[in-house]
Amino acid sequence: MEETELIKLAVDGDLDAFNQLVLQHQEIAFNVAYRIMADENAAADATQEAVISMYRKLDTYRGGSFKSWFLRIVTNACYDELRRQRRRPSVPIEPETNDGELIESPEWLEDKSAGPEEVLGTSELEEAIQHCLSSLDQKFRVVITLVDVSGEDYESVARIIGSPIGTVKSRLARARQKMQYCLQGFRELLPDQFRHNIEENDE
Amino acid sequence: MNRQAEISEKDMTLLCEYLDDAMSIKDRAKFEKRLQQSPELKQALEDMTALKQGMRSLPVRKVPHQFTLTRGEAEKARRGRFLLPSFGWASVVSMILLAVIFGSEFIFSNFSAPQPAYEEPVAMMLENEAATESVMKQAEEEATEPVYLLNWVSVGGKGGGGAGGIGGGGSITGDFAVGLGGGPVETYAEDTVLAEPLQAEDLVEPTQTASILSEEKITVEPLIFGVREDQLGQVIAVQPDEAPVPSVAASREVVEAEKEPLIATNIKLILAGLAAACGLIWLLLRFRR
Repeated sequence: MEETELIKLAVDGDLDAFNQLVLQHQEIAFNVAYRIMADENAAADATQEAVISMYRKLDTYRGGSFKSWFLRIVTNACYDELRRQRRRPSVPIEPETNDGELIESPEWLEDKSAGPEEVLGTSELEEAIQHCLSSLDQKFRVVITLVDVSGEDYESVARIIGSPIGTVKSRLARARQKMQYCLQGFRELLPDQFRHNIEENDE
Repeated sequence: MNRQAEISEKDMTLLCEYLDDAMSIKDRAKFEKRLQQSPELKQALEDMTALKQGMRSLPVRKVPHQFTLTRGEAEKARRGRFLLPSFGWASVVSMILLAVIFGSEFIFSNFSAPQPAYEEPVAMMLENEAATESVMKQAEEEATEPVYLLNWVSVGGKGGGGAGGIGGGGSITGDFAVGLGGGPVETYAEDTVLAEPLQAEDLVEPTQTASILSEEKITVEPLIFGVREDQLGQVIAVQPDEAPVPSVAASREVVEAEKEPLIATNIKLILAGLAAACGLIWLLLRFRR
């Protein structure tokens, strides 16, 4: 079934058609969220929120690219999630019992991040890029993610972030410039092409 | 030195456009010429290309779970569909109504034309004050001459009359009679006795008279009771009590008091409470999400 037909059915209240649309776009939505949030769980939360929000807002869909519309909701959900994270107080590192004694080896201290084998499997370049991406301001991060990760054109990005194309262009240029500066600190980790370019710049 | 620092922000934007194929054919040809002439620009393009390739080469993360909605989740989402906007809009509408009410009251109270119904008594009083001043002067002049009151044996009847010269005015308002400046009487009716001439201070203050006349509701004690038979030969003149004469300031206060607000205060309070309550609920729901 074609996307336009699925959209029409979904707008009419067909949940299966809606879920079909979700399945078509959930991967790109989750990846954009992941690059913005830099955390898998937070990205999953944001994506799920975006899907629920999209279901509620289906009747406000006025045509155009469904993917762009979905990504707009996803980026907004990411902004909301980032705001929520800032509001939530962080858990103390050394939790205490009611008697004031330190809890030894609490369950939550377990390192759930990637183990050594997994680390070996992950690309060093990816880590470096993700680190630099995370250090960017939100507005730059979103634009560079949408253009370079999701492969959206400028017009789509302008629609997604709700800003003029000129803003998209300037934000993208600054984001890329900042990324290049940041990646200079990871020259040993980067592939030959990166290293070569950075070394030439330093001469 | 870093070559990127030599690239202006405008050139960086052009590089991005060139790299992302967002340039027109004409601009692209123009920029390619510049690229051939400028090694710094060419180098910057290579750096940017490498970055873009690096970003594109990032592995696609697999979704941790399907994000599709179950029937129950869909129902729940539908139920909450109108809740948040409803409270938000209710709060906004209440605030707009409040703003309109306060705004219109402010405009009516400050910029509307004076209301004749309320202002008339004040204007009349001002006129009366001016008029009574001249009457006072005139009365003072006439008071130098002896003033007589005649008893025509008609209690509550006509006011003092005048003969042979300046005739005193007379007025009857119920049992209230005023006679002013009558001339010497030469003819006498039966059973009449010449009264003692009134002194100037015995005269009724014209200001008071005028003010009293302008206020219909004020009851005034009779100035002069008719001379009764057993009191023949006497003139009983009663000074009017110090009736509260409504001053201009007092009248203005009355006018202000009569200016009631367009919308009752209770309604305003209810609206303000509604706006605050709905706004709070909206905020709570929003932050809970």
